[in-house]
Amino acid sequence: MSPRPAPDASTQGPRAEQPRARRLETPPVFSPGSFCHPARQETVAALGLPHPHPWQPTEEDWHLPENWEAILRAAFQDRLRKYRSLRVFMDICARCGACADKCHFFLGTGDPKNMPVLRAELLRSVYRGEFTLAGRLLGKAAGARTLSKTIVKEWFAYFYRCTECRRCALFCPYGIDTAEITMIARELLLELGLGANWILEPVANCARSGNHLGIRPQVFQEMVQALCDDIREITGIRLTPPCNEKGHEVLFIAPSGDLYTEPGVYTFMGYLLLFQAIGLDYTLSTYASEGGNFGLFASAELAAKVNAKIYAEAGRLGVKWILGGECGHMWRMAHQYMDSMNGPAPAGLEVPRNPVTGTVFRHAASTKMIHIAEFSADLLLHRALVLDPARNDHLIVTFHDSCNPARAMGLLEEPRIVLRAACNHFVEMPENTIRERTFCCGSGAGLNGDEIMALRMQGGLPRGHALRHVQRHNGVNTLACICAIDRNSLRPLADYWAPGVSVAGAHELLGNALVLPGEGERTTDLRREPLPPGGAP
Amino acid sequence: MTARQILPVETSFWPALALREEDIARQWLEKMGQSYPAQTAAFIAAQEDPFANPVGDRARRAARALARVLTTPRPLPAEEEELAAALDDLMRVRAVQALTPEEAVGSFFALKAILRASAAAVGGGEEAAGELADLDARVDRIVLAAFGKYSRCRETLFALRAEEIRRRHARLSRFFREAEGEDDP
Ligand code: SF4
Ligand code: SF4
Repeated sequence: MSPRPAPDASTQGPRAEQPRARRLETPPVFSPGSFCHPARQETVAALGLPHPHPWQPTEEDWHLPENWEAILRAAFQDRLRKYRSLRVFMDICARCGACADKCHFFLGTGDPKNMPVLRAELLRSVYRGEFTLAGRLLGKAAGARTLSKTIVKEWFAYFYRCTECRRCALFCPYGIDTAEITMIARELLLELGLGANWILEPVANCARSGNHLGIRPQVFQEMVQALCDDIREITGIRLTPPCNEKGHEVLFIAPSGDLYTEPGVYTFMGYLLLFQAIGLDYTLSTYASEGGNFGLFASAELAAKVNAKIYAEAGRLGVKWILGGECGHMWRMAHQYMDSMNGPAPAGLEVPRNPVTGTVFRHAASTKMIHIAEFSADLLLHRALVLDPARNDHLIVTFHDSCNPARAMGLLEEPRIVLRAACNHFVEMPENTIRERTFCCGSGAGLNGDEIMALRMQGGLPRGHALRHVQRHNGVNTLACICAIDRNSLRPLADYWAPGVSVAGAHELLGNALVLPGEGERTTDLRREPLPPGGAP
Repeated sequence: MTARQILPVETSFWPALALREEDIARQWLEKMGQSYPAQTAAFIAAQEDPFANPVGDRARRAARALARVLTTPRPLPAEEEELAAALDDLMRVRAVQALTPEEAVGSFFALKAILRASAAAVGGGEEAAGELADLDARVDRIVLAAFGKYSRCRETLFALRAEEIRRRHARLSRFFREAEGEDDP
């Protein structure tokens, strides 16, 4: 955090504005709870990344390779050559300030360096100093800096205080996407062996076993079976989801968190119930056992590597199209990058077509992959599901638009269609905190490690504040979302900012409401909590 | 306010102080803002939309509640409740920000000086010593309440970490326990 005035200065009124260059010189502070744990040497090595070494953000010496400046300069140059967008973002910022107060980390921490414009300036100033003539000639006067070890530390501090949520980009008249600037900065840091353990370890696990936690195929199948056992006890219906079977129409891939975390597991049960209700011809896969992709939070190369399994498995199993579960960043990946990073899709795949309604999802003509919220919304709009929303009558539900499905993909209406159908009591949060303008959970882009809980709560304040508002004024007791990171990270957020609100996936609530042929009378919801006796709460 | 404004200022201490309620709230808000860098403080003070400026919204609500309670000899129960709720909202923020406990709670002490200056300005000098002592004691209680809330928030933060770790692998741990033949607790 930037320095605060000394206590005795407090009577002198607000201080004069610091010149920008001076503020940028304030060295970053690594106080407990404010920084990610560094990636372990073995993890960096296992991924074949350069310069694996032990280091600690709190120590003076980060043990950078001897030629660290040359490495960074070359890597930066390489990205500038590869991405025209980066060159544009580096050149065109007018410093209008429209983005400055739009970042949840600025709003929550009060640290000006969390203003998107200043965050980007941490990289942009180096761009000017190292790569532009004006910057080289005029130096600080042109807002230019040359590389220093302090700058490297600053990058680690502030580019791991950005959840790549793109809220700032929404307000920028030029569409400058600070999220993409953060992505590049993280790539540059990786070139020096500097990464976050919470991000790289799941990537390494994915590279080895296909999913974030490194769950083996047998365990994956056992976990699915355990959820089917629960479903049987709750609904009386026995499910046997196909796994690794060739010849089905659809490959279904969920974020693996839905298999082993609470409350994600209830959402997984909802998926399975939906497929049963419509008789979907699908298979799960233990090879493509993870829709999430922490590689996206590390580098383009790792994102592509982790994602490759999706097309590989769809091709191997000979499915026609791919259906993805409730995940956030999986959709940033599928919608914005998969085509160019992993495409084209294997030859046998077709444009996704809802087998029940006949709807063809033309926007996925190239990727061949759609989000379960759009699939379910389509079923509901065609009245293809039988529901008893009164089973959710004990819940007053609001919806958190997760940044990636909302801002990166435009999934705004579909989850609401699902929730309004599944629940009788649905309330929106204030309009400048939802849909495109949604506030991040504060834990996205790999910033969901428990070591930064204080930072996450600061970043989560704007969301928590809006949630608290509808809790107080509308009695909201359930926060729904369509993102697996959110199902985990909104839990502590709600516990801290709006205690008493619980978190649920949209398909958990749909699963509660779904009336399946042949089911017994339900007495509990998917969490085994008693169903409401009937009537509003 | 109009009804209050027609009171002659000299009548007595409390009505005179009550006239300065908004001013006291404003002064304290400014003081609180100074625990942030100047640019941030300016934003917190200026942006009025409660959802675009949650810190400002919580601080303003606390300032209003503090000024209301401290400009009356016997606050109503509803006013006390509003203050407790507003303090709770604000301390939740202050407890997670990069502030020392002293910084997080210290700005409440400033109320004493603000109240004294306000009292002096309305002629509450020597003869108001009793009222001022009463106000000092009430500010002390507010500081203690704020510190209590601060500490509870810090405890919550640690509990959330522990709970998240448990929940993250909840099903996996259950699965392995069952696989090893142990009972599900
Ligand atoms: S992408 Fe999100 S977290 Fe990053 S600077 Fe912009 S608003 Fe802040
Ligand atoms: S809104 Fe865009 S142009 Fe304006 S300061 Fe932010 S990044 Fe620069």
